[in-house]
Amino acid sequence: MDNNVRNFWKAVTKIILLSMTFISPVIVFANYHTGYYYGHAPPNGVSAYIRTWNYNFAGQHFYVNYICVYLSAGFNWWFSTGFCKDYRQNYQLKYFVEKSDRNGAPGPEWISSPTPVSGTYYTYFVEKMSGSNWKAYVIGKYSKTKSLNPYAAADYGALVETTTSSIRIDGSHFNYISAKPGTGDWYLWEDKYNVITPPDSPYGLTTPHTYEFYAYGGG
Amino acid sequence: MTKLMGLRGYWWIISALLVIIISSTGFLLYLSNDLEQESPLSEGYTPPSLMDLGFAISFDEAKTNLNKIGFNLYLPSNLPDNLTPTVAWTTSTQRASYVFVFSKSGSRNLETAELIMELIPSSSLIFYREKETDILTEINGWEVFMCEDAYVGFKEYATKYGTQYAKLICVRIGSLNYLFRAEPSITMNELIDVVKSMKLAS
Repeated sequence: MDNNVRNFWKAVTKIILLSMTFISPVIVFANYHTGYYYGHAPPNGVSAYIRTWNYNFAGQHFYVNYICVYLSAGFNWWFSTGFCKDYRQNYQLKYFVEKSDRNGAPGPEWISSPTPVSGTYYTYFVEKMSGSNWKAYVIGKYSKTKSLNPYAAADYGALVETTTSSIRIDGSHFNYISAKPGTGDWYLWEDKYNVITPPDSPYGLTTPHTYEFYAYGGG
Repeated sequence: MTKLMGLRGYWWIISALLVIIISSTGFLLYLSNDLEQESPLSEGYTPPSLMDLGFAISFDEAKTNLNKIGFNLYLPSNLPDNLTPTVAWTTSTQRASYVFVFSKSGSRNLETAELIMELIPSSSLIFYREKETDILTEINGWEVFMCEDAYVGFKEYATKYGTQYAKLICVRIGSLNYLFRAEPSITMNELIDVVKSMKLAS
């Protein structure tokens, strides 16, 4: 009888392992996020000082560090900029700008030159200009102005995104995350708002300040 | 001994059935997900949906919370085709940031609901006219923007309705923009009637 019980559990284990082989591709395709959203929308922009990092991976995957303006939660619209490493860009580190609004989501616009340097920090801005125009830029590196419809910020985000948990994100560091309430200065994100985006497992977040985080895990 | 052999036989039949069921389900999911990879929706870097980070409350609670922070809430009093209010999603009760869900089936899912109404604080209308088919007008003395081809950035919406587009009306009442998204079978006239029926929630 003991052997029969043992055989039964062996069979169950085989079934589970075999099933996982088929189901795992479904899990792999989901994107993973970790970082902050602000829970507040000063009208004129968001910026962050972000470390560029380089992790080698294979396959049709990407990772991205970016800031974004949320335009609508009900339609899922936003405007973002940051750096990425993407199989579609031959695994080269690139700056990018991307928008999703009433006209659609054409996908990321990659900046061919210059390119971000691993280990270097850059300050990224998404700033409201006149009318419906928003400008995404790093001073001295690139600048792209897009007309957004709708043109009002509903919230802001500062995020790390990957397409597979096999990408290790330990180099991620966002600091001096700021928003621009008026026409003048930028202000660090304040403590009184609810800011943490719960990290998607297996990733984690270290949060020294409301305006700073380190993301880690994966690989 | 025969009894034990019989038991073992059952285990293998059950095991085989489980393998077939789980494997085929997994494979079908894999195929459907693989097809989604072809969609333009999956090509971008997509931040998590804001309301994925939020929580659901009742319409009454939302109204009470909004009143506490100095906002009046207007709600439609006339809804098309058996739609009923289900929940209001928010990320904070301290902000005028909500998505109200209306559904035929009682669904709380804002990605796929037939009708939603989102609040975005702004003292001006947040849309501008950029196409000939866009309409800027007034309803009940409120500023209104409307269009029939607003892109929806949720895969679930595209899967359910077979299109990535929805009808949109944005109406500004005071310092709040009320942004309506209606699925394709709701006509623009029905949606206009929804806006016309908006009343201060009591």
